[in-house]
Amino acid sequence: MAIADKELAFQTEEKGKRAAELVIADKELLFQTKEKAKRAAELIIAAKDLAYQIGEKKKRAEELLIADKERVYQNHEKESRAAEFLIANIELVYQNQEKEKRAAELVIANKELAFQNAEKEKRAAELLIANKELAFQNAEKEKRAIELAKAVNELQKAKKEIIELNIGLEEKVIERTAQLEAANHELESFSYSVSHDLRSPLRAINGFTQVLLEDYADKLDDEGREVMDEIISNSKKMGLLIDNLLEFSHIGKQSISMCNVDMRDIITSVVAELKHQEPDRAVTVTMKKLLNVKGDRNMLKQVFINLVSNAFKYSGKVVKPVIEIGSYPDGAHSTFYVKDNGAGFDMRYYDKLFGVFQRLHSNAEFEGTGVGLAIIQRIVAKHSGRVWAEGKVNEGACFYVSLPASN
Amino acid sequence: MYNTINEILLVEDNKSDAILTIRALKKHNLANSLIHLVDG
Repeated sequence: MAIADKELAFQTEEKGKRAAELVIADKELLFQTKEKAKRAAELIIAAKDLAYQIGEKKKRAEELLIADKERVYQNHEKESRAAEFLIANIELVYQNQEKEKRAAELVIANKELAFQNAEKEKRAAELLIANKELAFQNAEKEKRAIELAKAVNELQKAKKEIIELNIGLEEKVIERTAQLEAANHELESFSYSVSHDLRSPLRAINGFTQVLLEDYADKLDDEGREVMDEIISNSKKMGLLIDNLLEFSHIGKQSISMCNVDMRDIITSVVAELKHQEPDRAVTVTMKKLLNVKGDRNMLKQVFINLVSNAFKYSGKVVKPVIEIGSYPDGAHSTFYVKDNGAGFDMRYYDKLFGVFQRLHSNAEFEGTGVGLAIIQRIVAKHSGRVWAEGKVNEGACFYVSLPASN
Repeated sequence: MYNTINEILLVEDNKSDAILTIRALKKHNLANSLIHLVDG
């Protein structure tokens, strides 16, 4: 029985335990029921939530559709971008090539630069040399400047010398002029005395031949008398030459007295005189305008006697001799001309025309001594004038004389 | 006057001129009493 009691005690204990456990289980149940109600409420909430979520999902699906469309669109975009990228790539390739080219060019440019640098260095070196050269030249220039200064000094000295020499020269010129004048004077008196002294033996020749002719003509035959005539005519010619020479040298000695000269007056009287000397000649003389001049009346008369008598003489063999005399103003001078239609002269011998004793025609053709034009030239020169001529063989001559115009 | 004899004095250093002059005077009978000197 103990065991059974024990067993019963134990069972009672167990029953108590189970009752306690049942209470607990009851409580648990209650709690669970409560929990279940909570869960139901939660489920309701969850169902609501689900419905909401489904709605959301639908929205999302719609959104996805839109997103899909968007994607399609984005794909297109991506494609076109890809194409653009392709183009961009090509462009990039091209740009790369360009860059390479440029790089190559840069390399070349670099080389060039390096070369230029080298050149610059060379130049710098050259410049250095040039600088040295310049410095040297500067030194030279300074030397030269010093030399120049010396030269200037010398020049001034030389100038002084020149001035002194000039003074000396002027003195010499005066001296020489005096000497020349003396020599000229001597020469003139010499030619004067020569011509004068030549006259007397000539006079004797002429005189004694005359005596022979006068007193001994009967003792001479015709040839002898002819010879006597020749002697006389030649000695007369020589006398004429001497006279002219005397006249010529006389002009050199003469001093001129300048005054206003009425050329018409002079020329008219010259022409009248010549016509009077040769009354048989029918010479047509036309006188044009004749200006007044400044000069020595007697000398100018001599000039026109010589000119017009030449015109008379050299037109002697022409059927209708015509002489024209005129003048025209020529600056400060008046130019006169005497023109004839006579024998004229050859321009080749022009330089001999005004020489003393120079003749372009033989004595047999036209008589003369060859002094007339020389006298004209001398007189005109004394008037600070000029004489010149134009001529043509057998067509005539024209002589020009320019003289200082009258005020 | 023509009958009066005047003396003529000729001073001429040139012999030829003197001869010719005297001759001319003689020709005209004027050299009857002529004195010729070569220097005055």
